[in-house]
Amino acid sequence: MSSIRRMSPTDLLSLNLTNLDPLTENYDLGFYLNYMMRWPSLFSSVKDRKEGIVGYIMGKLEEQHPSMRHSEHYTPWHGHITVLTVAPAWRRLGHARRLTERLEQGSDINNAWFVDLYVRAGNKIAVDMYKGMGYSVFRRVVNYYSDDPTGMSESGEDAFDMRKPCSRDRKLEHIRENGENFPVSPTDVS
Amino acid sequence: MSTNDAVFHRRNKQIEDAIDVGNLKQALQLIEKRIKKGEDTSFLKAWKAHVLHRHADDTHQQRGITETLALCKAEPAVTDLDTLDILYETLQRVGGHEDTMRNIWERAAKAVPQVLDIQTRWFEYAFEKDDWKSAQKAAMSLQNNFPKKRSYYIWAIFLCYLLAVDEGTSEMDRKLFGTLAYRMVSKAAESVPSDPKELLSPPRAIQSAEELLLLVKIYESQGRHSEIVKILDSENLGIKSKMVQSDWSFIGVKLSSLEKAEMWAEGLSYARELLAIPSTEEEKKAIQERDDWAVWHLLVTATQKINSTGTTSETQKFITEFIKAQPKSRNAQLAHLDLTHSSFQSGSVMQEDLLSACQGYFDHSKNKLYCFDDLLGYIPSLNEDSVVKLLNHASRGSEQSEGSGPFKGVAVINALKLEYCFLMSSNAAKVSREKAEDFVSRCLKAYREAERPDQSGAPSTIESQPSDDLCVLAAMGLIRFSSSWSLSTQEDIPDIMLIRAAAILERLIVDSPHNYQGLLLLVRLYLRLGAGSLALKTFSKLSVKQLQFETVAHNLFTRLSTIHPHSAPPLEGAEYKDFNPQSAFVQALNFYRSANLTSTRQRSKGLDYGSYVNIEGTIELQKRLRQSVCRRMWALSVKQTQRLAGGDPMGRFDDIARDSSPLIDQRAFDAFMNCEAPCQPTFEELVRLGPLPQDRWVRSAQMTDKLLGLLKDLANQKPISVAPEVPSLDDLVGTSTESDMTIPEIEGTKINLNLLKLAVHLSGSKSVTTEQVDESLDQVEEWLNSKLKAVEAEGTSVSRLVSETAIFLQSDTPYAPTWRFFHTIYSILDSVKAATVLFSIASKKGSKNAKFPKNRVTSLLETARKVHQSAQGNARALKKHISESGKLGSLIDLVTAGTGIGEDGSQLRGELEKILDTSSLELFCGELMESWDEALGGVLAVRL
Repeated sequence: MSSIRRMSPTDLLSLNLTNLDPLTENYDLGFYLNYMMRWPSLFSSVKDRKEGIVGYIMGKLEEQHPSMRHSEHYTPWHGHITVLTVAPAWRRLGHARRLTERLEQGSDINNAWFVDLYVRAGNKIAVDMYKGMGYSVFRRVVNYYSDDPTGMSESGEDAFDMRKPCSRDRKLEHIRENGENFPVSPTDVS
Repeated sequence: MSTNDAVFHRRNKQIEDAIDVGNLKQALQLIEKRIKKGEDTSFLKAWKAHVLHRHADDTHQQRGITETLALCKAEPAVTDLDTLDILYETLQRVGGHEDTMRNIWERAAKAVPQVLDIQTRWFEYAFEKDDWKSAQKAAMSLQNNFPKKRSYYIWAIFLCYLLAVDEGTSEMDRKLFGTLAYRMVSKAAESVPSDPKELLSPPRAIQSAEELLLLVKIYESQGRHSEIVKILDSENLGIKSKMVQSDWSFIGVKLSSLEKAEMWAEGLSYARELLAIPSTEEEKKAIQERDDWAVWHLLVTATQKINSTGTTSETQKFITEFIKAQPKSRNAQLAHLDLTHSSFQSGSVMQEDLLSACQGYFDHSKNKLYCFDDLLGYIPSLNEDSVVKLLNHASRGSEQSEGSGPFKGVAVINALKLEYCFLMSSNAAKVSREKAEDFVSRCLKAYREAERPDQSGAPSTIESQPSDDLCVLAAMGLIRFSSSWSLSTQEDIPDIMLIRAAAILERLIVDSPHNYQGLLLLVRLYLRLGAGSLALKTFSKLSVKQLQFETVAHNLFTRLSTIHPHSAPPLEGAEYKDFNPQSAFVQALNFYRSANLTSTRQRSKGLDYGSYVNIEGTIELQKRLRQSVCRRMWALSVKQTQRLAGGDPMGRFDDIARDSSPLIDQRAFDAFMNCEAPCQPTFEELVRLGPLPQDRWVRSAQMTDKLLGLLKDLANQKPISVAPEVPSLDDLVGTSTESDMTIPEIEGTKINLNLLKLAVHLSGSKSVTTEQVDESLDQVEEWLNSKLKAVEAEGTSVSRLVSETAIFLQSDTPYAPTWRFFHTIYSILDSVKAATVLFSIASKKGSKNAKFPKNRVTSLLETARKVHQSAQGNARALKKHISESGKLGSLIDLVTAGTGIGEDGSQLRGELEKILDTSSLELFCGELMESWDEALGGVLAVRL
């Protein structure tokens, strides 16, 4: 009884079920609107017939600045998942997979090489979920997050840059095995 | 920069500096000097007129307006961009010259059609000000004069559409611009090359999915749904076209257009085509996307509309086969249930069939949390006997549940929710104490026995668990079904049960700190208990910010200014807004201001990106936020907190507080758990603090705000040029029994209206007659005397107010305050403060305003002071009771053993003792007592 559709600006008033969860960030209104204006097809929500919006994905298309082209870490034209969230009571029902596939399709249409996302290296549930959806770790961005909720490190927490190739990347040039062991600095990916 | 330019800028800078420091005389002299020296430009003339209008005196201002208007009408038209900017700014300051503001740009554009800047500036200004008519003209001018830039053509279409759907546009214009938008966009669609291989598209052809969506919007606004279907079936613009590439949004558009066009046969066929049972791997993957309720909805609706036995049976067969192939599909199961339900309603299937379908759905979905909500729509159609059968089936089924991981035990949760809803809530008055206690005990037992993942390693990512629902359900059961055995006669929900329920929820929050259903309910319970500091602290855990000030904050903010207007003690590591209501209101109001600015900016950006549909959505969002009932309530509330608790002046929110435009209400309560029987008030409604404030509440608060504003001006001896209008009592309070205000609010409105009449009279206005003054003085006197009686405790141990609003156990001694105590006392004190200010002004020696009998004023002032003193005496008495020895112990007993008529049954007591450990319980009770004590301190801090 759920349906996927594009997110509209007035839908932002119906995000209680997802955004009351403290693990989902509530951004400034301009941040959401910027995504809606620039990448409207990559901002989708899943709506339950009775309950309203129970999940959404927000993404963009981008490439690293041309000045970085010489770098071995250069990130070419790709789709990026900025936010993916599903309300607690609607988790493990396949909504995240459907939302992600939609963004992947949107990125494919726009000739992207791959779709990527950043996730806390310690968030095993999320990492496993993305792996289940065909993503693999491309590199470890050392101390990407300034805080470390596990308290394991004083300098912050690493992020995994996870990727899934789009149909353009026939030769799978933009993914790698054992990316967990490929450390890069945050400045290499900014 | 050339020497001439440098000189020009230097001279301008001198004038700008003079204006900036407010030296308008010097600015004027500098301009006139330049004009006399021969620099007789329209720019300087416009600037001079602008400076004249900035003067404080009317003569200069009028000269400024006259000279500005003369320049606006000058021939040839002004075409200098800077001059136009100044004229525009001056007219904006003056107000009421909207037509002239449009005309200056239009005339300039006509005079120099080749100057792009004038037309773009015209467009930008008009678009930013929501002046669609002017923006449409500017867009037309741009597309005519600069045909090479294709976006101007689309802008013109978009603006025609905005005009056509704008409520403010006349009926005739709506038709005219609607037709124009339709024709222009249709032409753009027709211009798309029919051969997809053709690489170059004409500039005025639709070239992107966003432009196609704009077409859809325009067609939809004119009810041309079948034409949308036709376009989406076409080769060059259709779903399979290169432009759309099967984007699901457009499939959704086609599905809804088929429904709106009532093309049932086509709709059914399309839905079946999308849901065709997959045979290849690729199809299997595609069906994941297509198994969307939008498709199933059309399948079911089309079948129902076709309404033939053959079609219905074919569809049922189709669904059955789909379920066989995709057994996990929730949508298919629900489609089956939907069709069975509609067949039952039309009499073509029997009660047993619907019961069997519901039982089948429970069996299929019992391990999913959505099961209960999904069944809610169908069970009310079953008769009592069938409901019992279904509940028994669910109960048995829940015991044989095969759920695993976090879903283990979900079947039990679903069965308990069904029991709550259809056995208890639907017949609440007959729920015995034993039955309610048994239900709560079973919820707690199931919670206690539920397995919870070890999350100690990752505290920041603790997820809420399905079993959390059991604690919320237990708290709800205790609150909802205890009224029949409680001693309380004051409220439908006994306050004592709120304390016990709060203890259960606090226990839940220890296990599941991010459970927002628990947190929201706990905030409500603390507010109802008058424990404002705990409500603030609990609410802070939700980290409410940004748009949530519109969508969530009302759960705490509603009536907070009359429950806990003062700052609570600071919380470690928290922001001010987390413990100081005034800061919280200010932060919320800042959000609305920045949201408006950022939305306007993004709208303009959206034009460059061509996201027309989302621009329209942003315009609607802005409108909703501008007219939001919450925004106005927070502005009125922050001013009330300032009146009662002091703090920085809040005059900067006057405009919002006094805005009289229609209100838009977007408050949602969907994050509260609800298991009440259909057609019953939701649980959230049962635990509200009074009725939901709406239009009348806002108007009444605005009247009070006007009163306080006038009194402030009178006290400061400011000249009152126009006294505020005095509204009628019927407009504010109404005659209907369905009010959006509490009794203290209605009483406060009545008395404040009388005070407003007196203040208006005192200001020298003749709009209030002497008879009205006498009548108002009588009513104020009567009210003060009645309030004095209510708060005086002479001769009895407690005042009438306390006896009516505090928590009492089995003795005559008040146990603790409640929100009703604080709300009533703060409402009284707000009016008493206003009365004191009014009569103090009236009693000033030698005052020109002393128009009331002196003796009467003195007596009224005296009574007002007594009310204030006695009200604070009430708070002192309650404070004393709270700090009495043995209080903590009795509160702990109350939570575990309950009170009222007899003791709780051993089953519930046993469960509570198991789930609530002694040290946590002591902490909970101690904090509650501290919170009450702190809240009472707020009453003592109110000064006259």
